[in-house]
Amino acid sequence: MKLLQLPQGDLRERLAGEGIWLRTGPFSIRVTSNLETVAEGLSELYGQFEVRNSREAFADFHVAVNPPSLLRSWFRPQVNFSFDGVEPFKPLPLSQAYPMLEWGLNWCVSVHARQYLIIHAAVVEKNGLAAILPAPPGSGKSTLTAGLVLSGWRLLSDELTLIDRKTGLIHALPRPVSLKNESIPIIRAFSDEAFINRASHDTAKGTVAHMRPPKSSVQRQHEATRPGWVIFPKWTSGAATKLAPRSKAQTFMFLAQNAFNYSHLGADGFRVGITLIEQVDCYDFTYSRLDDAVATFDRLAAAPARVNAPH
Amino acid sequence: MDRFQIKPFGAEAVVYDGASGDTHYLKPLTFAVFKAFRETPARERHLVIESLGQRLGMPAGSTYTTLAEEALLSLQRIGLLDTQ
Repeated sequence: MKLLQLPQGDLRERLAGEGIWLRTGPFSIRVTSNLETVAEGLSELYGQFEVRNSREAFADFHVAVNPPSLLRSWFRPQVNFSFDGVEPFKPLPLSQAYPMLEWGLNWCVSVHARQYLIIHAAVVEKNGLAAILPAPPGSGKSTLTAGLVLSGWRLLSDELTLIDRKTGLIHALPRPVSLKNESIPIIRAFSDEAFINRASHDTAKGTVAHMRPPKSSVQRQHEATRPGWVIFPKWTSGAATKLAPRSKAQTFMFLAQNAFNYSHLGADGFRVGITLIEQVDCYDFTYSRLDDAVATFDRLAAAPARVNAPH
Repeated sequence: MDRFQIKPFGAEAVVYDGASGDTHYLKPLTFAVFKAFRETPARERHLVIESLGQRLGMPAGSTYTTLAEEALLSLQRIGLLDTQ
């Protein structure tokens, strides 16, 4: 059953009670919350995701997003994220309840999913090959990711690249795409098909909203993909679109430094990372116009298939 | 098993140090110095650097010697070489 098939009343009742069980990529999550904004966010953004009876189904992560206490909520409305009853973060303003759920879910995966080498990077796929997009904040990574998935690329993730340590394949986690500040109106203008939920203002990242993942990406969320490229996007005002090869050794180091669990995995992290880099082409990518950026990526994906098996 | 796992990418390399758990990026000259000292660890350092310079086609007395010495020091500092 999909979440959108749940009547709105049932959704809110379950969410405030036994919780909503959701399948996102390789993980199952049980979410509880008595907040309307959380119910609204899930309803708007997770409609295509599988739900089950949370009393019967096993969940990897049990999370809750609720106000800390009645008294505190009275003089300063706040919200807490909890994981298995533990609150790993300080409370945030109540208006940031929905982004806090998304950030908390990212944290759950990045800290606990040890079967993967997890890199802080977006990842999209076309014609059977994945493009990994690592980049520091402000580089236009999420804007580019949103533009690509609204143009026929499959969303695997906008934040967490999950590399299977046994197979080297990339697993999908196609949750909503986090958009910040100027990227929100840019994506609204880019495509009529973009659904973006209500924005939360004055967060640590500025104004934040989330874009619903495409239906096809959610339907294919159990398909793992071969890595094809590692591309470092950088949005620069007025810049011409340019794709330039970059050092594989330096790319490896950047990915290792931006992986959540590379150090924890020790020699196996090195092995998995090297296997990845051997299979991909690495580029720096500068752009200013989203249309041109998408066209460049499309040309890359249309190039004859490479046989970059690990060696 | 060797303490170091070395993966060359062209003239550059990345090295995983199993003793410290650290991973290092070696730029071309640093990687060349690293390989030269691993191949002939018993020789005196100035001879190894001189011999490497000849192999790389570097003229004697050029800035090569200074750069190679610096590369050697950095390799010692991060624990990839213990040459004295």
